[in-house]
Amino acid sequence: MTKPPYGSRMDCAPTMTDLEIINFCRTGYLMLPGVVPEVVNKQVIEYLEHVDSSHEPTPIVGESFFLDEVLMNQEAAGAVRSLLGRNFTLPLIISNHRGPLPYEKPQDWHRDGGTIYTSALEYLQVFYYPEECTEEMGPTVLLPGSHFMRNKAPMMAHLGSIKGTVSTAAPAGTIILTVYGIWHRRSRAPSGPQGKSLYRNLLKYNYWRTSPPQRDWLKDDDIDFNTINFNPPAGVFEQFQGAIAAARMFTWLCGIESQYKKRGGQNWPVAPSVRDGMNQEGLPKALANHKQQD
Amino acid sequence: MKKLVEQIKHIEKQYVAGTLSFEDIEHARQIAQDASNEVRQSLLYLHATSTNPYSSVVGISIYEDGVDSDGLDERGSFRYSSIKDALDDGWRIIKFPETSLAVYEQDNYGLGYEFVLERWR
Repeated sequence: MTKPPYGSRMDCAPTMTDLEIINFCRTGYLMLPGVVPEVVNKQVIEYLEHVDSSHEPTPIVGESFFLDEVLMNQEAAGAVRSLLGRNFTLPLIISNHRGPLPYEKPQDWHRDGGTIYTSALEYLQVFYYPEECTEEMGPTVLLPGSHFMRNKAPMMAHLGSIKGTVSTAAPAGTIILTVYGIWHRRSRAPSGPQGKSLYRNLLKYNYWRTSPPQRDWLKDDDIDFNTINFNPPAGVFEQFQGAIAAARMFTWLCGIESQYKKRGGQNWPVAPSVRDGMNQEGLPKALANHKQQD
Repeated sequence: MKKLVEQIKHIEKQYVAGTLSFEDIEHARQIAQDASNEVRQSLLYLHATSTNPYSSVVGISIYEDGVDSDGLDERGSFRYSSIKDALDDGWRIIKFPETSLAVYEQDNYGLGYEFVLERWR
Protein backbone atom coordinates (compact mmCIF):
# COMPACT_ATOMS: atom_id res chain seq x y z
CA MET A 1 0.00 0.00 0.00
CA THR A 2 1.41 3.39 -0.92
CA LYS A 3 1.77 6.05 1.70
CA PRO A 4 -1.16 8.50 1.78
CA PRO A 5 -0.18 11.84 0.22
CA TYR A 6 -0.24 13.82 3.45
CA GLY A 7 1.15 17.31 2.89
CA SER A 8 1.81 16.71 -0.81
CA ARG A 9 2.06 19.78 -3.01
CA MET A 10 -0.79 20.06 -5.47
CA ASP A 11 -1.87 22.37 -8.23
CA CYS A 12 -4.93 22.90 -10.38
CA ALA A 13 -6.71 25.70 -12.21
CA PRO A 14 -7.98 28.60 -10.08
CA THR A 15 -11.73 29.13 -10.18
CA MET A 16 -12.36 32.32 -8.22
CA THR A 17 -12.71 35.81 -9.65
CA ASP A 18 -11.52 39.09 -8.15
CA LEU A 19 -14.95 39.78 -6.71
CA GLU A 20 -15.18 36.31 -5.18
CA ILE A 21 -11.76 36.75 -3.58
CA ILE A 22 -12.86 40.11 -2.18
CA ASN A 23 -16.06 38.55 -0.83
CA PHE A 24 -13.99 35.87 0.86
CA CYS A 25 -11.89 38.60 2.49
CA ARG A 26 -15.06 40.43 3.63
CA THR A 27 -16.89 37.40 5.00
CA GLY A 28 -14.13 34.97 5.94
CA TYR A 29 -15.79 32.03 4.27
CA LEU A 30 -16.91 30.50 0.97
CA MET A 31 -19.63 27.87 0.83
CA LEU A 32 -19.80 25.41 -2.07
CA PRO A 33 -23.11 23.54 -1.72
CA GLY A 34 -23.29 19.92 -2.88
CA VAL A 35 -20.09 19.91 -4.94
CA VAL A 36 -19.04 16.36 -4.03
CA PRO A 37 -20.90 13.67 -6.01
CA GLU A 38 -23.40 11.61 -4.03
CA VAL A 39 -21.64 8.33 -4.81
CA VAL A 40 -18.50 9.70 -3.16
CA ASN A 41 -20.40 11.06 -0.17
CA LYS A 42 -21.74 7.55 0.39
CA GLN A 43 -18.25 6.07 0.18
CA VAL A 44 -17.06 8.59 2.76
CA ILE A 45 -19.93 7.76 5.14
CA GLU A 46 -19.23 4.05 4.67
CA TYR A 47 -15.60 4.71 5.58
CA LEU A 48 -16.51 6.77 8.64
CA GLU A 49 -18.99 4.16 9.85
CA HIS A 50 -17.08 0.95 9.19
CA VAL A 51 -13.38 1.65 8.64
CA ASP A 52 -12.51 4.53 10.94
CA SER A 53 -15.14 6.00 13.23
CA SER A 54 -12.60 7.91 15.29
CA HIS A 55 -12.42 11.67 15.65
CA GLU A 56 -9.32 11.68 13.44
CA PRO A 57 -9.81 9.41 10.43
CA THR A 58 -6.75 10.89 8.75
CA PRO A 59 -5.83 7.77 6.70
CA ILE A 60 -8.88 8.50 4.53
CA VAL A 61 -6.50 10.80 2.65
CA GLY A 62 -5.05 7.62 1.12
CA GLU A 63 -8.40 6.64 -0.42
CA SER A 64 -8.57 7.69 -4.07
CA PHE A 65 -12.25 8.64 -3.85
CA PHE A 66 -11.45 11.05 -1.04
CA LEU A 67 -8.30 12.46 -2.60
CA ASP A 68 -9.74 12.94 -6.09
CA GLU A 69 -13.32 13.94 -5.34
CA VAL A 70 -13.11 15.67 -1.97
CA LEU A 71 -9.65 17.09 -1.33
CA MET A 72 -9.05 17.76 -5.02
CA ASN A 73 -12.68 18.31 -5.90
CA GLN A 74 -12.63 20.57 -8.92
CA GLU A 75 -14.58 23.45 -7.37
CA ALA A 76 -13.14 23.19 -3.88
CA ALA A 77 -9.52 22.71 -4.95
CA GLY A 78 -9.98 25.47 -7.53
CA ALA A 79 -11.02 27.80 -4.73
CA VAL A 80 -8.12 26.63 -2.54
CA ARG A 81 -5.73 27.22 -5.47
CA SER A 82 -7.21 30.71 -5.96
CA LEU A 83 -6.68 31.66 -2.33
CA LEU A 84 -3.41 29.86 -1.53
CA GLY A 85 -1.64 29.96 -4.88
CA ARG A 86 0.21 27.25 -6.74
CA ASN A 87 1.52 24.14 -5.00
CA PHE A 88 -0.70 24.32 -1.94
CA THR A 89 -0.31 21.33 0.35
CA LEU A 90 -2.82 18.64 1.16
CA PRO A 91 -4.01 18.25 4.77
CA LEU A 92 -1.88 16.46 7.36
CA ILE A 93 -4.81 15.79 9.65
CA ILE A 94 -8.47 15.04 9.00
CA SER A 95 -10.76 15.63 11.97
CA ASN A 96 -14.30 14.37 12.16
CA HIS A 97 -16.61 16.36 14.38
CA ARG A 98 -19.08 13.56 14.97
CA GLY A 99 -21.85 15.50 16.61
CA PRO A 100 -24.36 13.39 18.52
CA LEU A 101 -28.01 13.54 17.40
CA PRO A 102 -30.06 14.98 18.94
CA TYR A 103 -28.00 17.50 20.88
CA GLU A 104 -29.85 19.89 23.15
CA LYS A 105 -27.44 22.72 23.81
CA PRO A 106 -25.57 24.76 21.24
CA GLN A 107 -21.81 24.71 21.49
CA ASP A 108 -20.09 27.78 22.92
CA TRP A 109 -19.02 30.38 20.39
CA HIS A 110 -15.30 30.12 19.77
CA ARG A 111 -12.43 30.64 17.41
CA ASP A 112 -10.25 27.59 16.97
CA GLY A 113 -7.05 27.21 18.98
CA GLY A 114 -3.93 28.75 17.51
CA THR A 115 -5.75 31.61 15.77
CA ILE A 116 -3.74 34.72 15.02
CA TYR A 117 -5.17 37.91 13.59
CA THR A 118 -3.35 38.84 10.42
CA SER A 119 -3.97 39.97 6.87
CA ALA A 120 -1.87 37.02 5.69
CA LEU A 121 -3.78 33.96 4.48
CA GLU A 122 -1.24 31.18 4.92
CA TYR A 123 -3.76 28.37 5.27
CA LEU A 124 -7.43 27.55 5.01
CA GLN A 125 -9.68 25.67 7.36
CA VAL A 126 -12.14 23.58 5.37
CA PHE A 127 -15.36 21.84 6.41
CA TYR A 128 -17.06 19.05 4.48
CA TYR A 129 -20.50 17.52 5.11
CA PRO A 130 -20.68 14.02 3.60
CA GLU A 131 -24.39 13.81 4.50
CA GLU A 132 -27.09 16.43 4.35
CA CYS A 133 -27.02 18.63 7.45
CA THR A 134 -30.41 20.18 8.10
CA GLU A 135 -31.10 23.04 10.51
CA GLU A 136 -32.37 20.42 12.97
CA MET A 137 -29.10 18.47 12.90
CA GLY A 138 -26.99 21.21 14.47
CA PRO A 139 -25.12 22.74 11.56
CA THR A 140 -22.10 24.90 12.27
CA VAL A 141 -23.02 28.57 12.43
CA LEU A 142 -20.53 31.23 11.34
CA LEU A 143 -20.28 34.94 12.05
CA PRO A 144 -19.16 36.59 8.78
CA GLY A 145 -16.47 39.21 9.28
CA SER A 146 -15.49 37.89 12.70
CA HIS A 147 -12.05 36.84 11.44
CA PHE A 148 -11.19 40.52 12.01
CA MET A 149 -12.73 40.70 15.50
CA ARG A 150 -10.10 40.05 18.12
CA ASN A 151 -11.17 37.89 21.01
CA LYS A 152 -10.25 34.81 22.98
CA ALA A 153 -12.37 31.68 22.88
CA PRO A 154 -12.87 31.51 26.68
CA MET A 155 -14.15 35.09 26.55
CA MET A 156 -16.85 34.16 24.01
CA ALA A 157 -18.39 31.35 26.03
CA HIS A 158 -21.24 33.48 27.41
CA LEU A 159 -22.35 34.74 23.98
CA GLY A 160 -25.72 33.60 22.68
CA SER A 161 -27.60 34.90 19.66
CA ILE A 162 -25.71 37.21 17.35
CA LYS A 163 -27.13 39.25 14.47
CA GLY A 164 -25.89 38.38 10.98
CA THR A 165 -24.81 34.82 11.63
CA VAL A 166 -24.92 32.32 8.77
CA SER A 167 -26.01 28.71 9.08
CA THR A 168 -24.08 26.11 7.10
CA ALA A 169 -27.10 23.80 6.85
CA ALA A 170 -26.55 22.30 3.43
CA PRO A 171 -26.99 19.28 1.19
CA ALA A 172 -24.60 16.34 1.25
CA GLY A 173 -21.30 17.06 -0.42
CA THR A 174 -21.04 20.68 0.72
CA ILE A 175 -17.58 22.10 1.26
CA ILE A 176 -16.95 25.32 3.16
CA LEU A 177 -13.65 27.20 3.06
CA THR A 178 -12.95 29.49 6.01
CA VAL A 179 -10.38 31.81 7.45
CA TYR A 180 -9.18 29.82 10.44
CA GLY A 181 -10.05 32.42 13.08
CA ILE A 182 -13.70 32.91 12.08
CA TRP A 183 -16.09 32.71 15.06
CA HIS A 184 -18.30 29.64 14.92
CA ARG A 185 -20.23 27.09 16.94
CA ARG A 186 -22.37 24.04 16.45
CA SER A 187 -26.02 24.96 16.83
CA ARG A 188 -28.46 22.86 18.82
CA ALA A 189 -29.74 19.71 17.14
CA PRO A 190 -33.37 18.92 18.05
CA SER A 191 -33.56 16.16 15.45
CA GLY A 192 -32.41 12.57 15.66
CA PRO A 193 -30.40 10.95 12.85
CA GLN A 194 -31.87 11.42 9.40
CA GLY A 195 -29.21 9.82 7.25
CA LYS A 196 -27.29 6.59 7.39
CA SER A 197 -25.02 7.80 10.16
CA LEU A 198 -26.14 8.18 13.75
CA TYR A 199 -24.07 11.36 13.87
CA ARG A 200 -23.72 14.66 12.16
CA ASN A 201 -20.38 14.02 10.48
CA LEU A 202 -18.37 17.12 9.72
CA LEU A 203 -14.87 16.62 8.38
CA LYS A 204 -12.44 19.44 9.02
CA TYR A 205 -8.96 19.89 7.57
CA ASN A 206 -6.38 22.49 6.54
CA TYR A 207 -4.54 23.29 3.32
CA TRP A 208 -1.35 25.35 3.46
CA ARG A 209 0.29 27.85 1.15
CA THR A 210 3.78 27.29 -0.24
CA SER A 211 3.91 30.08 -2.86
CA PRO A 212 4.15 33.82 -2.25
CA PRO A 213 0.77 35.52 -2.73
CA GLN A 214 -0.04 37.03 -6.12
CA ARG A 215 -3.13 37.95 -8.10
CA ASP A 216 -3.12 34.81 -10.21
CA TRP A 217 -6.76 33.79 -9.88
CA LEU A 218 -9.35 34.67 -12.57
CA LYS A 219 -8.58 38.35 -13.11
CA ASP A 220 -11.29 40.69 -14.27
CA ASP A 221 -9.63 43.35 -16.39
CA ASP A 222 -12.66 45.64 -16.23
CA ILE A 223 -13.05 45.65 -12.46
CA ASP A 224 -12.82 49.02 -10.73
CA PHE A 225 -11.39 48.51 -7.22
CA ASN A 226 -12.40 52.07 -6.34
CA THR A 227 -16.11 51.40 -6.25
CA ILE A 228 -16.24 48.08 -4.41
CA ASN A 229 -17.74 47.75 -0.96
CA PHE A 230 -15.20 45.98 1.26
CA ASN A 231 -17.33 46.11 4.43
CA PRO A 232 -17.92 42.77 6.15
CA PRO A 233 -21.65 41.93 6.05
CA ALA A 234 -21.86 41.28 9.81
CA GLY A 235 -19.88 41.66 12.98
CA VAL A 236 -19.32 44.92 14.81
CA PHE A 237 -16.77 47.43 13.60
CA GLU A 238 -16.10 51.09 14.07
CA GLN A 239 -17.04 52.84 10.82
CA PHE A 240 -14.79 51.70 7.94
CA GLN A 241 -12.50 49.54 10.09
CA GLY A 242 -13.96 46.26 8.82
CA ALA A 243 -13.56 47.36 5.21
CA ILE A 244 -10.01 48.48 5.89
CA ALA A 245 -9.15 45.07 7.34
CA ALA A 246 -10.72 43.25 4.36
CA ALA A 247 -8.93 45.48 1.86
CA ARG A 248 -5.63 44.89 3.59
CA MET A 249 -6.18 41.13 3.37
CA PHE A 250 -7.00 41.51 -0.35
CA THR A 251 -3.80 43.46 -1.00
CA TRP A 252 -1.85 40.79 0.86
CA LEU A 253 -3.41 38.12 -1.36
CA CYS A 254 -2.50 40.19 -4.42
CA GLY A 255 1.09 40.32 -3.17
CA ILE A 256 0.97 44.13 -3.00
CA GLU A 257 0.47 44.80 0.69
CA SER A 258 3.58 46.99 0.63
CA GLN A 259 1.72 49.34 -1.75
CA TYR A 260 -1.14 49.68 0.72
CA LYS A 261 -0.53 52.81 2.75
CA LYS A 262 -3.16 53.42 5.34
CA ARG A 263 -2.97 57.18 5.67
CA GLY A 264 -6.20 57.54 7.62
CA GLY A 265 -9.46 59.36 6.93
CA GLN A 266 -11.06 58.61 3.58
CA ASN A 267 -8.14 56.56 2.34
CA TRP A 268 -9.07 53.56 0.10
CA PRO A 269 -11.28 51.55 0.43
CA VAL A 270 -13.62 53.75 2.48
CA ALA A 271 -14.84 56.10 -0.29
CA PRO A 272 -16.42 53.83 -2.94
CA SER A 273 -18.63 56.67 -4.19
CA VAL A 274 -15.78 58.34 -6.13
CA ARG A 275 -16.96 59.38 -9.59
CA ASP A 276 -15.86 59.51 -13.20
CA GLY A 277 -13.23 56.79 -12.92
CA MET A 278 -11.19 58.62 -10.30
CA ASN A 279 -8.91 56.63 -8.02
CA GLN A 280 -9.44 56.81 -4.30
CA GLU A 281 -6.63 58.28 -2.25
CA GLY A 282 -4.24 55.53 -1.24
CA LEU A 283 -5.43 52.90 -3.73
CA PRO A 284 -2.45 50.60 -4.39
CA LYS A 285 -0.95 51.36 -7.81
CA ALA A 286 -1.39 47.80 -9.02
CA LEU A 287 -5.16 48.12 -8.49
CA ALA A 288 -5.50 51.63 -9.90
CA ASN A 289 -7.91 52.57 -12.62
CA HIS A 290 -5.57 53.71 -15.39
CA LYS A 291 -8.40 55.42 -17.25
CA GLN A 292 -8.08 58.25 -14.75
CA GLN A 293 -6.91 61.48 -16.37
CA ASP A 294 -3.79 62.96 -14.81
CA MET B 1 -44.13 38.41 49.58
CA LYS B 2 -47.88 37.74 49.63
CA LYS B 3 -47.48 35.22 52.45
CA LEU B 4 -45.43 37.68 54.44
CA VAL B 5 -48.02 40.45 54.03
CA GLU B 6 -50.74 38.07 55.20
CA GLN B 7 -48.71 37.06 58.22
CA ILE B 8 -48.08 40.70 59.16
CA LYS B 9 -51.83 41.38 58.89
CA HIS B 10 -52.35 38.39 61.19
CA ILE B 11 -49.79 39.76 63.64
CA GLU B 12 -51.55 43.15 63.65
CA LYS B 13 -54.88 41.50 64.48
CA GLN B 14 -53.32 39.42 67.22
CA TYR B 15 -51.62 42.49 68.66
CA VAL B 16 -54.87 44.48 68.71
CA ALA B 17 -56.59 41.51 70.35
CA GLY B 18 -53.76 41.20 72.85
CA THR B 19 -53.05 37.62 71.81
CA LEU B 20 -49.82 38.11 69.88
CA SER B 21 -47.40 35.28 70.52
CA PHE B 22 -43.71 34.78 69.91
CA GLU B 23 -44.63 32.00 67.45
CA ASP B 24 -46.55 34.52 65.30
CA ILE B 25 -43.42 36.69 64.98
CA GLU B 26 -41.17 33.66 64.45
CA HIS B 27 -43.45 32.48 61.63
CA ALA B 28 -43.11 35.86 59.89
CA ARG B 29 -39.34 35.70 60.22
CA GLN B 30 -39.34 32.21 58.68
CA ILE B 31 -41.48 33.35 55.73
CA ALA B 32 -39.07 36.24 55.06
CA GLN B 33 -36.10 33.91 55.29
CA ASP B 34 -37.63 31.42 52.84
CA ALA B 35 -38.46 34.21 50.39
CA SER B 36 -34.91 35.52 50.37
CA ASN B 37 -33.60 31.99 49.80
CA GLU B 38 -35.81 31.62 46.72
CA VAL B 39 -34.60 34.76 45.01
CA ARG B 40 -32.01 34.21 42.29
CA GLN B 41 -29.89 36.61 40.32
CA SER B 42 -30.51 36.48 36.57
CA LEU B 43 -27.97 37.81 34.11
CA LEU B 44 -28.52 39.41 30.74
CA TYR B 45 -25.67 40.20 28.35
CA LEU B 46 -26.46 42.69 25.62
CA HIS B 47 -23.93 43.53 22.94
CA ALA B 48 -24.55 46.98 21.56
CA THR B 49 -23.19 48.94 18.64
CA SER B 50 -21.92 51.73 20.90
CA THR B 51 -21.50 52.66 24.54
CA ASN B 52 -24.80 54.60 24.47
CA PRO B 53 -27.07 52.81 26.96
CA TYR B 54 -29.99 53.25 24.55
CA SER B 55 -28.20 51.83 21.53
CA SER B 56 -29.41 48.89 19.48
CA VAL B 57 -28.39 45.33 20.21
CA VAL B 58 -26.44 42.91 17.98
CA GLY B 59 -25.96 40.13 20.49
CA ILE B 60 -27.92 38.73 23.42
CA SER B 61 -27.67 35.96 25.98
CA ILE B 62 -29.67 35.35 29.13
CA TYR B 63 -28.80 33.27 32.14
CA GLU B 64 -32.10 32.84 34.00
CA ASP B 65 -33.94 29.75 35.20
CA GLY B 66 -36.36 28.47 32.60
CA VAL B 67 -35.23 30.84 29.86
CA ASP B 68 -33.33 29.81 26.73
CA SER B 69 -29.84 31.24 27.06
CA ASP B 70 -29.84 32.33 23.41
CA GLY B 71 -32.30 35.06 24.35
CA LEU B 72 -34.82 34.50 21.57
CA ASP B 73 -38.61 34.75 21.79
CA GLU B 74 -41.12 32.33 20.26
CA ARG B 75 -40.70 33.93 16.82
CA GLY B 76 -36.93 33.63 16.92
CA SER B 77 -36.38 37.36 17.51
CA PHE B 78 -34.16 38.89 20.18
CA ARG B 79 -36.11 39.29 23.44
CA TYR B 80 -34.70 42.82 23.67
CA SER B 81 -33.80 44.86 20.62
CA SER B 82 -32.25 47.67 22.62
CA ILE B 83 -30.85 48.18 26.07
CA LYS B 84 -33.77 50.50 26.81
CA ASP B 85 -36.18 47.60 26.14
CA ALA B 86 -34.39 45.58 28.80
CA LEU B 87 -34.37 48.44 31.31
CA ASP B 88 -38.10 48.89 30.75
CA ASP B 89 -38.56 45.20 31.57
CA GLY B 90 -36.98 45.53 35.00
CA TRP B 91 -33.33 44.78 34.26
CA ARG B 92 -30.65 47.05 35.67
CA ILE B 93 -27.17 47.60 34.30
CA ILE B 94 -24.44 46.27 36.56
CA LYS B 95 -21.51 46.64 34.18
CA PHE B 96 -20.85 49.07 31.38
CA PRO B 97 -18.64 48.28 28.36
CA GLU B 98 -14.95 47.93 29.14
CA THR B 99 -13.62 50.51 26.69
CA SER B 100 -10.16 50.55 28.18
CA LEU B 101 -9.56 47.12 26.64
CA ALA B 102 -9.50 48.63 23.14
CA VAL B 103 -5.82 49.40 23.47
CA TYR B 104 -5.00 49.75 19.78
CA GLU B 105 -7.60 52.01 18.23
CA GLN B 106 -7.00 50.67 14.71
CA ASP B 107 -7.84 47.09 15.74
CA ASN B 108 -11.28 45.53 16.13
CA TYR B 109 -12.18 43.94 19.44
CA GLY B 110 -14.91 41.58 20.55
CA LEU B 111 -18.60 41.74 19.77
CA GLY B 112 -19.33 45.44 20.07
CA TYR B 113 -19.97 46.99 23.48
CA GLU B 114 -21.08 44.63 26.21
CA PHE B 115 -23.59 45.68 28.86
CA VAL B 116 -24.22 43.27 31.71
CA LEU B 117 -27.64 43.55 33.39
CA GLU B 118 -29.27 41.77 36.30
CA ARG B 119 -32.64 41.19 37.85
CA TRP B 120 -33.68 39.15 40.86
CA ARG B 121 -36.49 36.61 40.70
